Amino acid sequence: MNRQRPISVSGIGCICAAGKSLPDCVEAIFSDRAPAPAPPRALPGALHPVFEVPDRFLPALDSPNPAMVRAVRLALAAANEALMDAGLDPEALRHKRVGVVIGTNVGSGVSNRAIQRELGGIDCSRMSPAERFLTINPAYRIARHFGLSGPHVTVVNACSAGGDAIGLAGAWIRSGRCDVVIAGGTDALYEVTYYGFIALLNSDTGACKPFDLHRNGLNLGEGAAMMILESEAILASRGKKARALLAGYGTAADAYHLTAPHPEGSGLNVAVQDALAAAGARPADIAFVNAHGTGTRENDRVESFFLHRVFPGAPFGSTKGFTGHTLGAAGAIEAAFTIASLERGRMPATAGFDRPDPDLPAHPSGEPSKIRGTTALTQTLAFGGNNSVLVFTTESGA
Amino acid sequence: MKACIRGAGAVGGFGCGLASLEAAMRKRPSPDSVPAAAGSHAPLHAAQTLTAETDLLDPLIPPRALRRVDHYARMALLASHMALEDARMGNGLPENTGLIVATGMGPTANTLDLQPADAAATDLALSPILFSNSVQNAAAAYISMLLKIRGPIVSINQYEMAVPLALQTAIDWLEEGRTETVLVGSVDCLSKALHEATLSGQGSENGAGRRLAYPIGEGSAFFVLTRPSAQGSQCPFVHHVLLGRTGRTVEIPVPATVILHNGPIENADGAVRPRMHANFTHLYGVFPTSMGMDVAAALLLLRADRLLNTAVPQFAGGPALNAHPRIGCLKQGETGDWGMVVVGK
Repeated sequence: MNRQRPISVSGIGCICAAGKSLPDCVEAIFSDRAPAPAPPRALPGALHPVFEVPDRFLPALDSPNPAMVRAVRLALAAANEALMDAGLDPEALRHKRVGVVIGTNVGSGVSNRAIQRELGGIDCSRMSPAERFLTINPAYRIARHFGLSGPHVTVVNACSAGGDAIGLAGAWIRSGRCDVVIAGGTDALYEVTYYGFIALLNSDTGACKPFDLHRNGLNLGEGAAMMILESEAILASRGKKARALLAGYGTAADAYHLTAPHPEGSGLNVAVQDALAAAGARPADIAFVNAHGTGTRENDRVESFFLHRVFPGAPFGSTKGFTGHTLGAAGAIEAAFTIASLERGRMPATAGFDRPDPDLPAHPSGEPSKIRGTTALTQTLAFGGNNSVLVFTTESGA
Repeated sequence: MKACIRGAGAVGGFGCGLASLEAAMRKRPSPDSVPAAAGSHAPLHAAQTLTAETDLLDPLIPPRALRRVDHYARMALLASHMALEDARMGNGLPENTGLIVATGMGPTANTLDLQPADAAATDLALSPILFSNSVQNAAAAYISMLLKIRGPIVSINQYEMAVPLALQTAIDWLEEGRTETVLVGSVDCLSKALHEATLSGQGSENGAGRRLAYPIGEGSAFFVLTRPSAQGSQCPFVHHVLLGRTGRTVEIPVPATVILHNGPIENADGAVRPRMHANFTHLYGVFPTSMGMDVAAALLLLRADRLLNTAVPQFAGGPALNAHPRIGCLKQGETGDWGMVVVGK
């Protein structure tokens, strides 16, 4: 992998169970006010707890705009915040080459049930499946909402989709195809994934405990995070500075197992090395690693051994105890948290981590901790053996 | 940057492999299997479908490894395998070979999401296998695992524009040095949802006996792309990938021939004015990512140096291509988006 030109991140938006905006989320995760996961409201009788976004967090819908499912509403909320953070007027985007790249799990299926439930009052049986598909396709919906004419694509790399979306968006800016790209991930809770993870025996019946001795599975969550990636020329013409730089992106497959990571993290290693090479960084330059840290026994074991081997002594942590595993949104939400942590010069505690597992060689911190440096790495490991890694830098730490 | 096409594989209603597709393209279309004229809706019953057989996969992959792979992923696996064989990479891939899988409907169309809208959530007694096969990147996961592809990997789902977006992503990866070789392709599986979507897209109502221009199809087409090199100077190329929206002004390099998927080509901005156009949709049917089949057909036209037996009457009989042919594979989406992949020598 060659060194790549870094791409400016000029705005960030985030919505999840921890907060309705990135500042709210950051306040929650640094004050250790983790929302408690609870059984899903929409699934009576379901016991495995999840991190739901309270309805009051969602902006009111523009009326009349009924055909907007939850994953799209979450994406739109985060996109609006990101545009505002970047100081970009959505109206002005119509005159620029603006692309949209969004990762998701749920926002790409063709579900009668989910759509009918969410679009209360609308009989989805009258919609063609094509209309149903495009109603829930977040990239298409965001592009149409803002009247954008650039390319738009929905990435469906399971749990790494949000990170991959941001990485692919970087190439769209670098190649000159777009001036601005709205990139990130979104996912809403959905009964198929909820019962699917239970079927895979990957869901905890209590709050998740990433890297803990007693970790016993994940909690699903929902949310969205969006970043505004912008060309240097456009940013300079607006007299703005980047909030952070997307310095590197790596992706690689394990080619090992459908639902379990490679025991030595072979694909993860390739993705990390590619991301570091693209950023022109060494492992020692990494101030901290935002780990995937789902709370499942195998994921956390693989990551602990990998981080111990590749980033010896580097601090790392997982934020899933604040958000749940937001699947297609996770890579983007955690990328947003990574940048926010660099800006603060501190990384959040790993909520749910209490007792170190003596069988693991490296452990996260149970408390918020100071970090040194201006470069950080966030990694996601996904269904099917996908591994996605992003490296961000900020001009200076806190 | 243009990308060199080192190999291709396809499975669909015409059969299995490029040779089967070429044989079908060399046959004269029967009058009742194609539209009377491009863009018109000639008689074909709504229920007519073209399905793909994947039996040829069985001797290629150990049965134990295939036992959980559903039809959707089997089509993608078979087309991938054939593309690598065609590229003479069947016995060993470059270490960081990348993989990009495009789909319009994904696997869920055929599995979980067709459950009745009013079914209780607690009725979802999911098996781990059914759930795993419903995840949108299931086909990519199986290809990666069973063909040992360990490079960059992405699955995209953008309905009718998924193919051009996947090919553009492959070119981006080659250009930025992320990988030297990319296996990129598309897959869609016939299902109730796809059937209804296609009926809707062709202006007909669901299964009401109305007649369609083309049968509804399914299938998978994969391509092995590399950076251009002296070694591959005889290979065809992907020259351009173009995306746009009807009504927006864009510059399109006018290709010599346009393979038309559906609708009159003048609709694409009025910018496309080909000297010749062709249509082979009657061989593989209509589905969201059927543009992948169009690209495979275009490669065969380049190999033959002529149009073969297109379904477009004024070019029936297969006139010769010019000395430097560029074939644009055009997809006009229902939403006003369009994409074109230009391949040539």
